Amino acid sequence: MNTEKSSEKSTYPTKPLTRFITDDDNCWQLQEYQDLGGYDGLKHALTLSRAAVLDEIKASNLRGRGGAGFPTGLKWSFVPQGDDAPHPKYLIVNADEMEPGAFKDRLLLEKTPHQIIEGLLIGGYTLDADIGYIFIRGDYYSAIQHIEIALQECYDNKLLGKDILGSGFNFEIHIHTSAGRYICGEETALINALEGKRAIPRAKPPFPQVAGLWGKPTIVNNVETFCNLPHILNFGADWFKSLGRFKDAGTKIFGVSGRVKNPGLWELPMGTPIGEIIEHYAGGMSDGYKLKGYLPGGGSTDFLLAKHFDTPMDYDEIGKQRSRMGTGTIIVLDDKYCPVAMVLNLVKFFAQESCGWCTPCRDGLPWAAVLLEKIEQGKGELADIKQLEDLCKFAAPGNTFCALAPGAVEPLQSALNYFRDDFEQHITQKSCPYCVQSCEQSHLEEDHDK
Amino acid sequence: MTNKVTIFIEDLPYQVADDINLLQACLSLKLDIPYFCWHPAMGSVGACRQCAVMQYQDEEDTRGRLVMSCMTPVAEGMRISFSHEKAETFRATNIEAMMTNHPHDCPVCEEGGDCHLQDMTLLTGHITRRYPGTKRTHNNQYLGPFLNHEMNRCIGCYRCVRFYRDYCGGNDLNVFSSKNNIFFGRAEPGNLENEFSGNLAEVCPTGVFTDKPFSQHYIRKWDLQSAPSICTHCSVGCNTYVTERGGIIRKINNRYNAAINGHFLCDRGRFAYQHVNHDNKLTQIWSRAQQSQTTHIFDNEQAHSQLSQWLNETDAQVLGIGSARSSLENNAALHKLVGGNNFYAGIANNELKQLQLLTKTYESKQVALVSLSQIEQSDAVLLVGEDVTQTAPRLALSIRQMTKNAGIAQAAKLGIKPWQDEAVRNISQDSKSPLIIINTDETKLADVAKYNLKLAPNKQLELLIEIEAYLTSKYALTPSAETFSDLAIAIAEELLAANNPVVVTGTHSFDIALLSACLRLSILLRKHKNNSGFYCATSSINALGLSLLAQPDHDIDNLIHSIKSTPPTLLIIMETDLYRYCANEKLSKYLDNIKHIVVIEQIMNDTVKMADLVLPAASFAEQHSSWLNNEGRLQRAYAVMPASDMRQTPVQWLAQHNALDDGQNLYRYMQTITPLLQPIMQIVTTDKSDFPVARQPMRSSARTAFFANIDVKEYAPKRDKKSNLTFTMEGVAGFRQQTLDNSQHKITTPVTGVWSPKWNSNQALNKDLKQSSFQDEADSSLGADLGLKIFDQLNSQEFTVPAAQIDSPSQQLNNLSICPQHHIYSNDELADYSSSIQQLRPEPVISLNQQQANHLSLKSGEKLTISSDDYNISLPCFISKTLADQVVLVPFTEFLRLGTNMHIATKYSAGNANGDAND
Repeated sequence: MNTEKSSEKSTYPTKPLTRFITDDDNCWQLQEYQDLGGYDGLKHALTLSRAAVLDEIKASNLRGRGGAGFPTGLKWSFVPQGDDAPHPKYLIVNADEMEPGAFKDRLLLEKTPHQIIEGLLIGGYTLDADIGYIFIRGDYYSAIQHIEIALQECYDNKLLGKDILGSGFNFEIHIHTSAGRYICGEETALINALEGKRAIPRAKPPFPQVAGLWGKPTIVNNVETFCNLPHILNFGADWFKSLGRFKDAGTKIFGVSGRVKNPGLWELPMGTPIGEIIEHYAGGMSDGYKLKGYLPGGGSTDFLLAKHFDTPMDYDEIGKQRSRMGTGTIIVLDDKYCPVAMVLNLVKFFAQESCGWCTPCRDGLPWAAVLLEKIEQGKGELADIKQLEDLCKFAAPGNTFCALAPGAVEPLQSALNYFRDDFEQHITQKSCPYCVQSCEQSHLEEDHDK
Repeated sequence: MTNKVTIFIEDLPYQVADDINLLQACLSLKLDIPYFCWHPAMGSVGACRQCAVMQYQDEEDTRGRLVMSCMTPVAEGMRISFSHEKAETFRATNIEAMMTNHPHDCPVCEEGGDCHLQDMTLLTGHITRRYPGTKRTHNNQYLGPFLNHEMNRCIGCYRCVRFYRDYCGGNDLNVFSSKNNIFFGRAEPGNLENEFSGNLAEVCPTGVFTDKPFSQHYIRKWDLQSAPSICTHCSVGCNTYVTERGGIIRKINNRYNAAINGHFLCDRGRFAYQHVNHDNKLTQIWSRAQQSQTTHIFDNEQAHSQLSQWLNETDAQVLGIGSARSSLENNAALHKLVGGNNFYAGIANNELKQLQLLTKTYESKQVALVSLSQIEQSDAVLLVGEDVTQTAPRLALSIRQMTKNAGIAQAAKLGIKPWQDEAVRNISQDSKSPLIIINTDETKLADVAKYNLKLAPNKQLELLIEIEAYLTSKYALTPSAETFSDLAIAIAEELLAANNPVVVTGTHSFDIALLSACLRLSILLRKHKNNSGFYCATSSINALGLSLLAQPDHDIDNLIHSIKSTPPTLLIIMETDLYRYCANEKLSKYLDNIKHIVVIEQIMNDTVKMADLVLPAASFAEQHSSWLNNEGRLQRAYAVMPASDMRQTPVQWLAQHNALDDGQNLYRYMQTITPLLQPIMQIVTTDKSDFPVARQPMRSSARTAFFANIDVKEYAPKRDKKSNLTFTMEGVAGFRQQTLDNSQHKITTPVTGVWSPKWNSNQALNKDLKQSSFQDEADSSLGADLGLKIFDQLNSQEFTVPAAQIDSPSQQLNNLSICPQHHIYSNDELADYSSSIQQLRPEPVISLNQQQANHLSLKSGEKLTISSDDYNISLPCFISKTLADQVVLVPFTEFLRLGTNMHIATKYSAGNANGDAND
């Protein structure tokens, strides 16, 4: 992990998100964090007007890091402001990281709890919010512990509660551990879960910015989004924009998993070409394996191929290649793993995680899983491929209540496009070409061995 | 307010109301758009995705995008396509996905032929199954005597939980698990606790929840004959379709009435019909031989000559008892026979007094009588002295909807329409329009009430009088120096803050002082709030109608008093079980002194056993009849089947003797008794049309040969001489009338069922509902006839409601009030014969709170005896945590029998003089 120990404000960091992270297992306590320049962003924000902070965030072109890449400043500008605005207003950190292949938030949660709290406080000040929630995946046990300690430190040092740092700004933060459903990552389902209801996405309108948690204005943003705020306030929007290598501003934590030499996470400028991440940072494919394809942004994004290596990891650029940036955590598929089995594994996961609210997701995904299983077991027919294509169209964006099912069929629809031969081979050969017996099982065992 | 906008469907312009969603707009244009999760009363949530259509930005837009029509508000110039290939494919795949887990059990499913899922599947064109997998299965649950549960059929539309939880406030039905394994049911098998559970059979688009009593005598929908009727099991007067086959009532379906029940019935109304099919129903004329214990079956002629002989005896003194559960016609016929002076209402004295006070106040037009739909649209309700969840459940459901209006208003500020159900709920959260309940015990509306005041009757009265005084003082030129309690001020201000507050009460407390206090408060409120309303639940469907016919103090108490002193020679008891009102031994002694007793009754009861001549009466399902509900709404009900065996309507039994045929003369006579019944001619004459209308649907498939085991011949159907409905499928198919333009064809005969081309289930109704989401009572051309409100047609009469005395005449014994405890399944006489309802009847107990129990040295379960002059009950006591202090609740039926002069005997002091009890 590349670390930048700089307490000097004048030295502009190039890797702001991880500048507080050391290679050892250390997680900075409040004092150390402050010594390194932590909470400077908040202190600066508190000297500005709320509108000025929001302008700075807008000017930074920060886009939501949860996957959709919606401009954060724009999202926040929908929250009602002024004396007539309803209160309490809520800010929620979406730390329910459950996307297959994604583990970038975990790093920030475990290592930089104060950075998240600082981001949340800046957001709270900007939006005149009253209460913040950190909605965290229940399995992130040590992260939860670190955040709890950090929160207590903040309360003890007037960084939370009433009259924060003497500014007159009041803010409370609660941590909520999720009971564990992928759908809770959808912001309105998260809100329902936080209210103690079934985690089912809500109808929009109204958008949470206007009527969210308990009917009040609410902003939900990803961990990484919040972590950018202290640095934007500290070093300015222009600096932030200058970090990106292509159009998008700032840095992002990118990750690679799969059979590469050096799987892991790196904070890199937005717009870093995909090939550079895989070849340079992840060290390329392990010996004896070739790259067949990869999911650029986690389990719910379309496959891309080696020919797309030059594409910068920028929201719109990836979009042009008909995939999505998603969480920026790349899952690599090698030439010895069956793509049908991989897609089956993913579709099964998403079918399992469907909340059961709308038909295309609830009944369409299990249907696709049944067909994929049939093909993988060598019992498929060529007509099944047509059915799978129909199901991908069926669960297309706009057809479903939320983005879960459209995301779930993305690896499937792109696999049908790029690896159609593999599907057809399964069917004509009446078995999985990648292994003779029970293919999925052996792959699973293999994974365990690694 | 509703305006019209123009939308373009497949490039053709249509005019639709602007406050509805696209789905509703298309359905009202008679377009066949399939849907599942949307419901006109429950709004849209966008779960099933079945109603997808293509929407285009403008004329140039050729790509369009798929939208769910139920989630899309209509807008001027909106362009949509229903038949675009993409939309069609999506809808077909959607239903194919739903059907992946739906069993192919239509032939053995009771919903078959009455199934929305069948209709929609055919409509969408899903014919061939492609899904190769196995179907998921569930275990079904026992849900009580009303509903079957078959979860494997579930397609996951979420309507059941949305109805049960969000609409009715039930909490024992829920959705469990997730993904395609979602399960709709209870945490554990058991009786569904909500009193509207039966509606699930209609709300469910397929056969997950089906009517359990129906399955005990199941018949396919196309074999049923059906007629519009009125529910006779409480005073609300909900509209129903009664369905029949072979002289057996098979089930009751909701009949949409925008002003009253809308889409839903209560479980008592839906399942109480079984008395018509009961083994003990009376079908023969029975006569008791003089001076002997033997009974004989008479024929018609013998019966009439016997009756005639008794009526014409020299010095014959004839008294008649009319019935609150019999129609206006029947009561008028008896009234004519015995004369107004000798006509007694079959209800208790204090109830008749209450009813006649109500009538006088209604005539004076000082209160505005509101309908249930108006209550649903109001923004504050003061509910006093009546547990309407038990005595008039459908009313309670409307009050529950009222509480949602604050949230709807809040959502409207964010541009969210009332039908955007989920969005409205998310915005409104816990904000509710104020419901203020003043009652002796907690009611099932407690969860939505702002104030839950549990007070003894005299305390209730004090509070009402104080509120009245506060209002008077507030608007007086010189405010009085009186000080008022915070509570009284808060309640009064809550009502004044509303635009159209409604005072709701009932006669079931038998407390006339409380009723007059409610009336006076309502009158006062209306002076300051022009839109304020009043609603009073009465005891029986025709209680108010009966009270119009009876002279003051002509009630059961006075009748008994009268027969005790001077027994008549002939007493004609019509459809009233006197033993419900009076202690057994006393009553039997008095009845023994009467020379001849004629009982006209539908079912065997204790009163029938005392009769010298029993004339079997037709049930509500066997007669055309008119009913006056508690808001003074005259409604017409039609026979669904000819009267069985020797049964006749009381009108027919008495016609020979009172010189009234049961045609126009009867109605003219009714008009002479009271001018209030003038409008009856309007609802009776609209009966006539040039077309006979069939009660049976058209025979589009093979009909089940009903008596095939006996004889394959079909017998000539009976003829209905009293209406234009036929007992066959001949005539204009009643079910299909709705597809015609009624005004054009001058068809005024009511529709006998719901049907629309391709729509065979009750969801066909939604193709005929009006476009506006707010039903306007004045604008009632379609579907259901809303009935006629008699008090609306009057010129107001002078009347002053007497001030209530603080000293309430209720049963006060050293500050202890004995009050009736009501229960939905034990209050109604005829509902008692229904085996499914019997299963849910509570054990009779006497309820009191801990403090009273301590005072009487009682422990839970110990017996407490309450006596009146000649009746006493001894029941285990139940210590309630919610009951008001100084109140003892006894079961309603026991309360009736105890009469007015009650006292409590404690276990230690029974029979002894006791300072606490025997004052």
